[in-house]
Amino acid sequence: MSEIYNKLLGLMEKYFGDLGETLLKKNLDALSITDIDTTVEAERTALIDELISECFSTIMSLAKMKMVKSKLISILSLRSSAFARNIGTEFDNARM
Amino acid sequence: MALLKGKKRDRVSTGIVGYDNMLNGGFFPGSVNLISGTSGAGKTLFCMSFLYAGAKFFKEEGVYITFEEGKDQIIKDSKSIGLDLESVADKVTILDIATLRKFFDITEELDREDSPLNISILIDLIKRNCDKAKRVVVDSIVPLSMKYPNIIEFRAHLFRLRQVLKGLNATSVFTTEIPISSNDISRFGIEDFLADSVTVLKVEPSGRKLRVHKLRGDNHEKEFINYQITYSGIQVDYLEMMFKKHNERDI
Repeated sequence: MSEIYNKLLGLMEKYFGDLGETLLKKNLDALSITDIDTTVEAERTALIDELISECFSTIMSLAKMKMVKSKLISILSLRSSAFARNIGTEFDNARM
Repeated sequence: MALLKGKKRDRVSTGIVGYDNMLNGGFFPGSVNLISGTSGAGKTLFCMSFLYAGAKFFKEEGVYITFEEGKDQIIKDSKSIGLDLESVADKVTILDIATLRKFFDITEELDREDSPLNISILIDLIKRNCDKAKRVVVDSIVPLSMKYPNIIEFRAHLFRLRQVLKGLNATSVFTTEIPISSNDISRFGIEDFLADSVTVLKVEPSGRKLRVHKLRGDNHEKEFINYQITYSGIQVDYLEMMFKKHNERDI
């Protein structure tokens, strides 16, 4: 499992316990996301919206939801750096 | 919404004038209370009045756990009787299990260990998200029964739920349904044994009536009393009944 997936899972489990993993998988399925590491920005935004509206909104106040949304944005922004690292490696390989 | 300040300071006001009188001031702090009623009797609105009063008048946090009615519908219905939940959104959290259930089909709800209808999962959700709540409502426990093949197992799990609610340092209410023509006080015949107080709500051709069937640790009004669901909240005709009784005695 990727670093991003594990962080997302950790956040889901923090609030939903054992239900967290299933909810994450079902939301990823609903958006047809099979690999979180290869998602584009639009998919990440859709995932954040989906998790907030379908999951987190069901258990917390608006104020707490804003906090969780920031956390989700922060976790999913890791994709950029992972992507950048991959691109960087590919670039290095190509140079060699 | 008018509010009766508890006659006794060691009681938790339900936020419903007349009903508090029937309970000698309200629920006992930390107690687990059952509201049992027929369809359309207003169980959800009773529960919401309890949470709303806590948030509005006592600045207490509350959690409402719903299994069948979605959050938006509950907010809308509450508003129709003058309970503006959006004005207390920082205090009242709706744990919308009804929406979470959308992710599971019926077979999954029954078979999967992590379905939201599993009482262990529910207990975990409560512990994770309700630790600051002073008032907790579980509405209703009936869908939870689907998960358990027999009444003994269901009772054992309900007992665990009761213990968790007791351990929250909060006053709790849970609801159950009774068929319209039934004289029973609970759906499964076990819920009332787990509760510290039991209130039965009924809709009859002559109107809505409620009766406090049981209140552990204190005496209480035992007769059926009329109540109405109005644009400004639930009104229980307790004082009217007292006057009527008084006048009848004089005659």
